[in-house]
Formats: sequence, C-alpha cells, structure tokens
Amino acid sequence: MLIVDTDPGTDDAAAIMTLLASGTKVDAFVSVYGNVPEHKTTSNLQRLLDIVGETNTARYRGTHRPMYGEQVAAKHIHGEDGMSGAFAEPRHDLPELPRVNYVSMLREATEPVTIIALGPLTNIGSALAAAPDVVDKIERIIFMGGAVLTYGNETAAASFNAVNDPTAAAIVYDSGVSIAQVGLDVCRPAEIPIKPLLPFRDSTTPAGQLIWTLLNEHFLVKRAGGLTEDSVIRFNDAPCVAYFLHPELFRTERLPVMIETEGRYTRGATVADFPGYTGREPNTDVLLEIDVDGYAALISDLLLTYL
Amino acid sequence: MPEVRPVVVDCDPGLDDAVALAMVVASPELDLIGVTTLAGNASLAHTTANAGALLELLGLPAELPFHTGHAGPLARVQREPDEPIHGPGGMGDIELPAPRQPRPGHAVDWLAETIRERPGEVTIIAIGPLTNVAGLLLHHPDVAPLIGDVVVMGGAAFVQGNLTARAEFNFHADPEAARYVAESGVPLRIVPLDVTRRALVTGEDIDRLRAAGGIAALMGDMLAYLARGFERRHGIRACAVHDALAVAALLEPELMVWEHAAITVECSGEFTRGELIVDTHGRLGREPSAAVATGIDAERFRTLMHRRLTAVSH
Repeated sequence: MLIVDTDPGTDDAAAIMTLLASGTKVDAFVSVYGNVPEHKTTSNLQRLLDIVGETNTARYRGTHRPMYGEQVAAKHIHGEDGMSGAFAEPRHDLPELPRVNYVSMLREATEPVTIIALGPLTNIGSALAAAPDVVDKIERIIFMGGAVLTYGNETAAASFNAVNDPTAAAIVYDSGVSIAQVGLDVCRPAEIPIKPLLPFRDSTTPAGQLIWTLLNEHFLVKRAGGLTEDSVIRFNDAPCVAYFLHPELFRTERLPVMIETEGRYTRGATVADFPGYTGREPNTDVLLEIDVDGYAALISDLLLTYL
Repeated sequence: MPEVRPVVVDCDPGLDDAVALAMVVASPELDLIGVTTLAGNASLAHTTANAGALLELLGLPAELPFHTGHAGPLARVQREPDEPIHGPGGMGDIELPAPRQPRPGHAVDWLAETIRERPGEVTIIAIGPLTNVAGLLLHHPDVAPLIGDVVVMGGAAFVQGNLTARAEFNFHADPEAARYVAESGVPLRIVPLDVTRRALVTGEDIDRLRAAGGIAALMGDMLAYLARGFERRHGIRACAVHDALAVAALLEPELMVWEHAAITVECSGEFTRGELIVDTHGRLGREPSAAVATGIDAERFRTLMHRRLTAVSH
C-alpha cells in the first residue's frame, strides 16, 4: 500500500506527476500544510489530481498547523497559490475532502504501507503519537527533508520540511519506523536541464500546460532573468519519487539520525551520527549522493509522457 | 601589516599544538611574541607545563612572554577531558625537558596590553577552546577593534563532528566562548574539521620526519602517537594534525578554499550543542563575519609541514 503525503507546492506537483506517469498505483493522497496554508495545499492537490485524471484514488485533507511551533511557508518559491500562479484563480466548486485518519487507515491496512512524505511530518507524527502501535504497519517512510553534509534551505542548519515541525519529525524518527531521508544532500545538486522539456511550450493538454507553467515560472528561471535553452530547474520533491522508483541512482548510508528540537540555530536539523557517538540503532537510509544525469533523464522522460 | 607578522599562540598542548608551535617558530614570516595557555586537550596545569617544556625544547628566549589563562569553559564549571586522544598528561608518551614557569599575570590581561601596544598588528592563533579569546573580549572590550585577526582551529562546518555527531572538540569544550567570539565582529579565519580531517599526514610522512633527526624527529614521534590512536579507530596509519592547519592557513592561505559567511555557534540543542553554524546563504540576516576554510590542497599542506618542521634549528 502506498500513501503520498504532500503539500503542493510546485515540486510536489512535479513529483506526483512523475510518480503517476511511471504507472505506480497510489492508494491514497493526503494533504498537509507546508509550502502554503493547508486550504491551498488541499485544493491544489485536488486540482492537480483532476488534471492528470487520477480521479479514483482516495483523497484526504490533513493537518493545518505544526504539532508545536509556528508554520513557515515558502511563497517566495511557489507563489501565492503555491503553484507558480497555475492555480491563481481560486475554485469554490471543489468537494470538501474528509479529514485523514491515519490511525484507522494504518490499522486497517492489510499489507505493509509505504508513505512518500513530501511535506512537514505533522500528519504522520501526530498519528504515531496517538497510536504508536501503527508503526508496525509502516514498512518505510520516504521523506523529503533534512540536510546532513550541507546547509539548510530554511535556516542555516535545517531544511524546510523538518523545521516546520521538528516535534513531529522527532516523533517519526524516534518511532522505530524505517526512514529513507531524501534531503538537501541530494536534492540541491539534482538539477534538471530544461531543454528536453521545451516542447511543453506548445502543449495543448491541461497537464502539459501545467508543466509548462512549473517550468517557465520556476523560481530558478526567474532568478536567472528568464527561460533560456540552458535553464536548469530543481523540483526538491522529485528525488523522493526517483528513489522510490530507482534507488540505484543514489548512494545511501544507514545511520542513526536524530531530530534536533531545542537548538536556537539548529532546531529541525537532522543530526546523523556517522561515527556512532550516540550508540543508537541506525534508523535511516540517508541519501548522500545522486547520479544527477540519470535522475534528470528519468524525471524528464516521465514528465514528457504528459506532452 | 608589517612584513613579519606578530603572532600569539593561544594553545592547550596537546600533541598537535606542539606541531603548530614548532611550525610557527620555524617560519620567518611569523614573529612569535608570546604564548598563552588554557585548559583543553588536558587540564590547565598540564597544558601549561607542556607549553613550558615546548618553549624550552624549541629554544625560545627566556624573556618570551608566557602566560596562563582559563582553567575551564567560560560559562560552566566542568571541563570536558580529551585525554583519550593526547594521553594522560596531554603529550602522549613523549619525553619533554623540564618546563619553564609561566609569568605572573593572566593571559587575558597580557593579551590586552600587548594588542593595545601594537594596534591592528597582532594575529592570535587560537588552537584550543576559545575561552581566552572570549575572556579577552569580555574583560577588555576596547581591544576588539585593535586585534589584527584571529585564526581559529575549531568547528565542523559541513562535515561530521569529532566529539559529537555535529560538534568539534574545541567548540564543544566551550560553546559559549566560541559563540561570543563568532559574533564579536573581530576578523576571524576559521579552520574547521572540513579541512583538518582532509589533510591527513601519512605513516610515510611520519617516518620521514623521524628520520630527519632533531626537533623534526620528536614531532614525528608525537604524530606517531596520534597515528597509533587513529589506526586503532580507523585502521589506517595516519593522523590529522588539526592545530597545524591553523598555522598553515596563515602561512599559505591559498592552500585552502575559503567561504565568507556569518557564523555562530549553537549553545543549546539536545544533539547540536557546540555546532558551528556557517551561514553561507544569509539565513541569519547578518553580515559575513568570518572566512571559513572548506577545502584544502592536502598534498601542499604535507609538503609545507615537512619543510617547516625540518627547518627548525636546534
């Protein structure tokens, strides 16, 4: 069973489109606050799934704020709507989604569950706090977040998704569940050249037009002064999907990883104990290196199926 | 800046401190104008006795200023021991001459006087915890703008720590002092584990030093002691000479890749106390205040170290 927990988010959208293009069967999509407030991530998720024709899979709305502390949003990356303007026109005709109940969803699961977590870990952390027994139903969590041998993207030391709710992240990391940490160590170098994707400029399908907006309005493209043939973009959530589909594109190390919840400058940092100072059991496959060319080709090829 | 740079070595010997001190003495570009000690690799009594013995060994003039400083961290009572690396007295199994005695007067006060006399000229090579440097800035704030610069061996910027997963020994030994210095605005060059760990001295380097005789051979013996510990832990006959890298940074800065950034040190944190924060992308909202070494030409460092150590007369 596969659950995608997500805060769309431009890079969430790219990751989900990539995953679905691979033919992977997803059993449920769950929203969470993050890149933008929850009401927007929820409607963005619905609109995205409608556009790509993923209409029969269960959809839920998740938590709207961290378990502890303040939410930080990322409008400077994703735009006011969270989708680089693609969904700037609000829609008022979308059905109200049911609230997620991870505890019953996991307790009722008849096969091991994989969760691809593309946003803050609040949905999962709060469920594990409420019912630690459900951890047995989770085979692994593939989490986009963390920074081990590199600097953070929200603070100098911590990544956006972990710093948004270090409490929830700490509950998940300490729960005994097996984690694959797809952090900035691999997401930051994961540049995708835009050139093979340029045909989306003339795409007439709604999905193709959405992809074009994600490319053309990408913050890196805008920061570089506009789109050229040599533009590169990054979709930080897409390496999660690449790892799920092709783990051989990455070098990983199995390590004990703890979440710092107290530090003044390091709150939300993923502390990887390489030398084993803590004596803790390894709980995380930390992704440390990426085959950038192989990754970029995989993502481009999958996105091109929407042309 | 004068052609020959006046330097003070603020140290906690420590085997790698000894190598650093010998490199300073062997370098005509540097004028060693004083040595200050503090607790770190061993207790203050040990580091001071070790420094006193090294000054004898290196044949330094009796009138060279030599002062003791802090016996433990700025804001805590307890010192964290580092004896497993450097041996019980801080100098492994090395036989040293009888130590000379330090002068009366606290290191911090002597530093302040000396810097006031030579405004803008003096470089402090700080290769222990930053307690003395922070103490200097606390007790003599007027001196801050008069310090030429401080070259610090400490921290782990984008690599794992050597005392905890995220913290390096010198910064972890006194995070409050390290943070005080990091945020002080004094010109800083930070030489962290990112470079010291990558500039390993090999077993062959050590053998060549031991074959050279004199001071170089003794330094070779010290490195051999460190290398035995390193080999037990990592299975390779080699060792890092952390403190010597701070001297190398001064002698040949182009040997290293430098990042200019605002820095600070985590003083709270369940897992991150003592972590050096290098803010390369302006997330702290502060002006860049330090040059941080993040890359090194290890080959060139080894050559530099060998050349200097074999040039020590005596």
